Amino acid sequence: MSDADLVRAIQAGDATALEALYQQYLPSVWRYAFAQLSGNGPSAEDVVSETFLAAVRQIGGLAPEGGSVGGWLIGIARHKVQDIRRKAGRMRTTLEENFSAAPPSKEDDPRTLLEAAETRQCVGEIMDGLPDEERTVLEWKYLDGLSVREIAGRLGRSEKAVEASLYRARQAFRAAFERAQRAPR
Amino acid sequence: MCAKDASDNLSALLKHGYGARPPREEFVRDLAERMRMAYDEQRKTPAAPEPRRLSVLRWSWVAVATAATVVLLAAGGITWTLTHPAIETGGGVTPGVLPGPESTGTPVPEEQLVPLDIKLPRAQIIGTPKNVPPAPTLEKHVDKNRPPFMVPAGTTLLSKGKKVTSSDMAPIIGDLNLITDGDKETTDGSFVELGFGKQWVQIDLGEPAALYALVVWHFHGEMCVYHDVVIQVADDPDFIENVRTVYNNDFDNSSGLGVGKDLEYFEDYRGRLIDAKGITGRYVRLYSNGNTSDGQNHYIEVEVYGKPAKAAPAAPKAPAPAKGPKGATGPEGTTCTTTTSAYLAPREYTGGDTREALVAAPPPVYSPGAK
Repeated sequence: MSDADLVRAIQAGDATALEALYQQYLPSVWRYAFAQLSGNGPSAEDVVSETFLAAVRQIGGLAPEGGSVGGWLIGIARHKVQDIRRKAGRMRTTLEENFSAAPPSKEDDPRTLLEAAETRQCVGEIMDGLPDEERTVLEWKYLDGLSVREIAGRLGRSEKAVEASLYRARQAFRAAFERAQRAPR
Repeated sequence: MCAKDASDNLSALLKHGYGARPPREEFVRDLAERMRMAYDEQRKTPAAPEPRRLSVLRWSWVAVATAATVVLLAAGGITWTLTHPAIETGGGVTPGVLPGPESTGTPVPEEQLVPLDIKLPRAQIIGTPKNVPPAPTLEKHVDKNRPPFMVPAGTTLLSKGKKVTSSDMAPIIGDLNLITDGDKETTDGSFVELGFGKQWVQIDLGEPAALYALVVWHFHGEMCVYHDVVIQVADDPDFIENVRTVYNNDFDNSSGLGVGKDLEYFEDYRGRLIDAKGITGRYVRLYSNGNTSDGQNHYIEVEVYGKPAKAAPAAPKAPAPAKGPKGATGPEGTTCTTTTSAYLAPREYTGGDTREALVAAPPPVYSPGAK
């Protein structure tokens, strides 16, 4: 069932469609919140909860063909993250936070931990800067292990269109990553 | 610097850099349950109205309203002014008489008038809007500075930091306190987004005050038009006692608050300056009913200027409800004004309230009877 079909079904009163939408987009929204909040689990849970509950309240007015549902949800999550940061009195994610939030590594070498924190911050920023569809297809393909056909089904697009989108997303990600490598910090 | 050469393996890089640990199972189950409950609750309430656009239907209302005007004028039943003083001259208090078409002409004590100092945010969009077609009910957008808006000396910003409540107490984005925090920019964390359809926000000024001006910034990061902007002042939080409407551009009564005579307008960084005509009240409620972009309701800031009632000169009582077209009077005690002259032709907005303009204007002095 495509995103548009899901939205229509939810608007028509189908609770199972809501469950499907939740299962489909929870990983993306969770990953986004987790990355933006430097691995702060409780805050990420707050963002994810508020995002989906706001979505439930608003989905009745959403145009089914109006655009990417994933982009819409991430748009809500983005503002929720801002709310949390504002409340906490911090406007920027610092490397120190990312460093301290890093999960324990096999090598407890500080240099390795620092590099890992840098990479997480860098990748999080790049993913946040990608267009909605490109970010979504990258996640579904490389993190959730979906096939091109499955992604096409979810987005209501042809497989060719998804392949093209994946190609653009890879190119954009690599270009941004290489720019970040070259840029002084 | 990011880990070198990692871009060669996109999958590994994403898993390492963006692959968060999964959420707790208990959290996932709990949220699913809360969503289901919220969804069931949502299904019990009436569906939100479709986002409205300026449409043929609205044009037909213009025709009906125009016809009603002609009939009423012929009967000599109403009096009206073709242009609102706030739009025509910059507005504010007219020396000697509290202004506005609803004014009872109550003389006020001689008092010095000063230009209202309104701090403006950065302009986000300049130029002529293209996405919304012109309509007789839509004010033509003009990039001119507002002339100074004159208020009695001692008028202050009363709303800063005051408590805000809303018909949507769980906004989609932001908190209600953003509406009175003084931040008028369009950046993240500066605005609140309420749900679809008719919604309101309400400011409790803490004590009754004589109100001279209100300035409203909906979202001005894009050139859009918010529908059914209705602003009311009352003495009680439930808007039952002494409710007065100071602005209403709902020309087809689609929000059920009565037909308004004011024009719809494009949002921009200057906000909408509204002449409150010195009326007294403690609670200010602002309605809107979606916008031309997405059907939702946004507020960046609302400013209410006035003086505590005990410090202000006698203000006019609430005007008697005007007699309008049949069915025009809305619920909640709305005193609906009836003139439909505003629909006859679009008016140019010559407003602007840059600080430079305010500084340049010499403060006039009240002299009763003078124009």
